[in-house]
Amino acid sequence: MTTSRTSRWGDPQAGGAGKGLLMFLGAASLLAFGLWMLWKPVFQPMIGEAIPTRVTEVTAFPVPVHDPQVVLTIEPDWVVQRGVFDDATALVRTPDLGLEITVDTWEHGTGPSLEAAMREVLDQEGEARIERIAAGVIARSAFVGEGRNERLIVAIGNEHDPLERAVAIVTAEHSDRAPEDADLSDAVPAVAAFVAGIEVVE
Amino acid sequence: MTWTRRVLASLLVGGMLGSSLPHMVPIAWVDIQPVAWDAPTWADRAAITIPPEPIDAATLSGVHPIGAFDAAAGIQAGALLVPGANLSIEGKRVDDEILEELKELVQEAEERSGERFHPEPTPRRGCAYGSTTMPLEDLLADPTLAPPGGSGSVVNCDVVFAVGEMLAIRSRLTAAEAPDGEGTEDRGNGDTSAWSDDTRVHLIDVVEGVRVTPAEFWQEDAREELWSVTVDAIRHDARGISLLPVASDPDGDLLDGILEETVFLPNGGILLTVPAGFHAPELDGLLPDVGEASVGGTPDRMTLQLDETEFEHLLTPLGAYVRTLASESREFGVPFVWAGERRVDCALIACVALTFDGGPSDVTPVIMNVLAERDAAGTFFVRGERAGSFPDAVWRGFAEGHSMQNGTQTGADLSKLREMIDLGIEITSGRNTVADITGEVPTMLRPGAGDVTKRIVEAARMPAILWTFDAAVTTIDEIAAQVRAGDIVRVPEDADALAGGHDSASGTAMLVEALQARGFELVTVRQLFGGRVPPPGVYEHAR
Repeated sequence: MTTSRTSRWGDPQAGGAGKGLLMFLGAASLLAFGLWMLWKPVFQPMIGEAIPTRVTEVTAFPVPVHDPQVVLTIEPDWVVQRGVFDDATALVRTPDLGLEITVDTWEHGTGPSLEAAMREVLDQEGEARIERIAAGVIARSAFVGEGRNERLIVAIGNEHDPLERAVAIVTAEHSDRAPEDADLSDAVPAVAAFVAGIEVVE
Repeated sequence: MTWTRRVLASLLVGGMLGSSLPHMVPIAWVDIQPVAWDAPTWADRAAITIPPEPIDAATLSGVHPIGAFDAAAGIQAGALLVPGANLSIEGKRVDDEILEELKELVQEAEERSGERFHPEPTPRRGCAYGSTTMPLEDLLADPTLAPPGGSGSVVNCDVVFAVGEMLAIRSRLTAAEAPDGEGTEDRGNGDTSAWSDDTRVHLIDVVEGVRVTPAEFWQEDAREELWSVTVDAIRHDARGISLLPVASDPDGDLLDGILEETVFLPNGGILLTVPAGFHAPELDGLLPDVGEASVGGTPDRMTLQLDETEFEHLLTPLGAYVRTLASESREFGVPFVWAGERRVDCALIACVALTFDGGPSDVTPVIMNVLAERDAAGTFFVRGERAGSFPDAVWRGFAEGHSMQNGTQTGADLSKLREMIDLGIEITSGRNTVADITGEVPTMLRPGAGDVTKRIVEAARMPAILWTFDAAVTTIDEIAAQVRAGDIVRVPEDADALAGGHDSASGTAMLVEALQARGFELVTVRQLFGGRVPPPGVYEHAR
């Protein structure tokens, strides 16, 4: 007769599974703790504001996050996000998501001249006009492309900078969600209001 | 998105991100839904609009088109006269003002060209529909609208509105700039020729007999506001993005040019027209062609529609009054004036006088019908002995503005009358017969057969009017081809046949048509001589 041996400590195989579970839980907790510890200094700057976010009240949005060149004013219901792994770029969308406005900046003092910045973007396609958009702030702007693919490009700079360096390039264009007959001219007042809300950080 | 993903997203994003993004409430992981949004628009109190269609001047009764033209002096000017307008309180006549302005333009053309102005016939009379609103390049490319020979100056016009007793006419003066290049402008269209191109509107009140410029519609303190709203509207039309308020001081000349083209619409709207070349500091970086070497500015004329509720309080009482009138739907009306009673300046306009003698007869009313239909005037040298048989024809001619003059009593050859008393009877009897019928004493004489001696002139003590062309001798085609401004054409009423085989009535119709087609104004002899009776003498023309 064969009698099965049972430990009063239970099934040895069952004990192995529990150990494994414990180890897993421990490792998971460690990982979670590590993530939690690293979220603010590492992960959140990388992907945190890359998530499209609809703001509910007027929001100041510095670009880049550290040592900002400009501070955007985001109106309620507008959607904003940063570039993934690139906090020097912001993408702002109108509440209906029909218009996309990209803001690109440089590190302080490294921007090209407004003229050079526009030349680089325009590639001989359009003619830049120049306007004062706020006290001490000038903008070179141009419309490039045609019809629904038309883009408004605005290079913003400090009027008192002897080198007229650009601090940001703003590009506005219709998104895929815009109607087929969308005309960028109709969006100019919205872009103008957005540009007027850009604060250039000295 | 499934509910589990929603929960995860809200836990993860809400828990981890929410605290670090205090002003943002993530609503989804990546799938953001659009929400309704009214895109902002310019909060402008004015906007660029399409100019209203002008009124076809040919549809208006009571206005008379004229044209001054001389290729050598380099000027062509079309204008509308309003002969039926009342005299103003100061006793001025609207047509005199219009003719005076034309005269000034002619003088400028003479100075510029160094040529003395001699009016030539032109088929371009009055206003050419749409000529004051078309782009300058189009106007210069149209030989009927451009200055003669492509240089010099041209005046075009349009009727802007015509309501009740109000008539608004826009005139456009386009002139080649001085050859020394002063004031030249590169308008950026590849055409380096320099032109000045100015328009202005005049409003005529035919009852009050006044002609005003619409700048008088605005109060003085409206200027700054109108400047600001104009600059803002142009800035936005040029797709500028600045929201800074207009801070520049109004340019007086530019603003005057705009206000002078104020037009009220039947719906109460207020339009301003911004001339090409408008510029302001706020627009300098936006508009093309602005550079150190050029003035630049707006390339074309622009029409600006004001928000009338914002601006009506800035109108003067005159402006408010005219705006009210413009909104009424009354048809324009001005009393008709016969051709022979109009103000005509034959020093500006190519005129020819048609003269008739040998009547009256049964043909006379037929000739008068022709003249009335074609809006032409004539001078009838009435033979006294026939006037008694056709007093109605004489009276009608007088009533319809024709000049009823002395054709002597019998039409005898005065040069063959030896006795002074016979000569006197022939002349005075003819004169008195006409005066008895019309109540107006004739001041000109046509001696029978056209033979005139010094003795006849002395006896008549009035000018003897002969002719340049005689339709009994020269065919109508030849007359029409050879006649010049200031000429006098004779059409005998009693002739069975004119040269070429026409009778007097049909010949007159053909002659009138041919001369008007060439652009001649058909006037009385008195009008031909500047509205005055020339001193005693013999006249074959008025040049």
